[in-house]
Amino acid sequence: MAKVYVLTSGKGGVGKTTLAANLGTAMALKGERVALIDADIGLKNLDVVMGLENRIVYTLIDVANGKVHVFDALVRHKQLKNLSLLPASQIATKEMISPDDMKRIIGEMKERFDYIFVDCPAGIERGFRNAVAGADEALIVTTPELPAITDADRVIGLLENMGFEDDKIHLIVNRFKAHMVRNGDMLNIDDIKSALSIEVMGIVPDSEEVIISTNKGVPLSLNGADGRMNKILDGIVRRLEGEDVPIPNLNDLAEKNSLWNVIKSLFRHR
Amino acid sequence: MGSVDLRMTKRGVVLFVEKYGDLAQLFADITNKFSQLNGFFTQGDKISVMIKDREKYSKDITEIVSFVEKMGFKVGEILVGEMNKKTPNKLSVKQKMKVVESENFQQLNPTKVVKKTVRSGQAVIHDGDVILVGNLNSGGEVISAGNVMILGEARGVIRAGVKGDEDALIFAITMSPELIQIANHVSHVPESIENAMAYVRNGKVVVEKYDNIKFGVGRDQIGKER
Repeated sequence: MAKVYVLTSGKGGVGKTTLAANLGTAMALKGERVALIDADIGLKNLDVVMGLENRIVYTLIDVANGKVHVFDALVRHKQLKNLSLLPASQIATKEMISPDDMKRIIGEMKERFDYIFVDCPAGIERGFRNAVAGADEALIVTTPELPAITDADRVIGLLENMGFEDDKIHLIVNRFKAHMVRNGDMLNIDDIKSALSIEVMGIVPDSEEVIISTNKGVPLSLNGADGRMNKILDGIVRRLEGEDVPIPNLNDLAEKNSLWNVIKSLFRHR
Repeated sequence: MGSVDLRMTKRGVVLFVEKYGDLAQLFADITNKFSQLNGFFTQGDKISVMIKDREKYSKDITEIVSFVEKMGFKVGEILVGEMNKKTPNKLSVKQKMKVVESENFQQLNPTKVVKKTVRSGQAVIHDGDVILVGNLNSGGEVISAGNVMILGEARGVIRAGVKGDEDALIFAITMSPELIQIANHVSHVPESIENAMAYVRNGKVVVEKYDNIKFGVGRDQIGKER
């Protein structure tokens, strides 16, 4: 029976789709049966990030309309046979599917998967209500910036109103820049925790590798790059699976040495 | 009826509660006693309540006082002791407590105690006093017809005394709200203040660090000098 997580934020562009793709892939690499659902109808992105945009035949809307069964619409990943995507439609709108449709579709999928990640659109309107409908738990994605944090607080409040218990709402802080936090130019994790009053499930550093992997359509774990990012994703995956993995500290999250830093350190030793 | 008695003593009128089985019976007995002596008392009279059983005192006293006040009388004093058996209108008082609220009393509805952080988009709305044990996040709101006490960081919107009560108070451990309102006076707080009290003085909202001396003994009303 699958555990269903929705990745939501309120704010757009904080990394929900990227995390959905990368967490899903990391999970699948561990042998779990994973499904990703793109609930951003009309602004679909998850298929592109997964490199599956040329393999879509049927979409979430087709399933909602009863045109096809969900298992005919699921697109299997090229490499990982235990990873599938239920794509969004680009020409339809969020009004063409309802929270009840989502609950029904997810219900039909639950037997065949271990984990289902729903990629929620930005906002708090119909798209949000659709995405949240079938979920057991929520992963709130925020960046360490005030607008993102205030939007996240709004979303957590809405989830509370909808009946999500505190232990079913988790926080992932994305695009964390350790050197800015050290200089006092960026909010630190304690500031964010006290502003939002929820426990941190993961901290993901900012990384140019993400941009590269997005454009290639190859998630980080399959990209053969940046071991540091993979280690961090692995930490989050293990926490999701119930393991008590400690959250990385500021040093673990520091940027790897850029060429400039290396040169600077050479001069310092003279 | 053995359980209650009403006597005029040196202290004034005393409602004496000797012993009782359950509260329902006691309340029936009290009602009976008062109606027996109808005409003797008027609404608003101050009486003392004397209770014999000290154990029963702590458990039931709030309900007994509430019941007597609902009947229209003010309870000025709680006494623990008994009527002197030999001299009927003399009392053997073991313990005495003056009920302060009967003079400085403000009650609309029971106080709502909310034990959670109020998030952006959420609201606490109550026709009486509100105690918030938690933070009020930016984008959240507390709307109260009475006083508001926030035992946490107040960053949202706080409205107190919304039915027009200018004596309403707002307290916060960290007063950093988007907006505060008391009755129909609205104000902003330019800089965060710790342990702050907001009140209306001369038609304006004043926000100051809470000071026991200022707000405690020595003032008839908040904001007004004796």
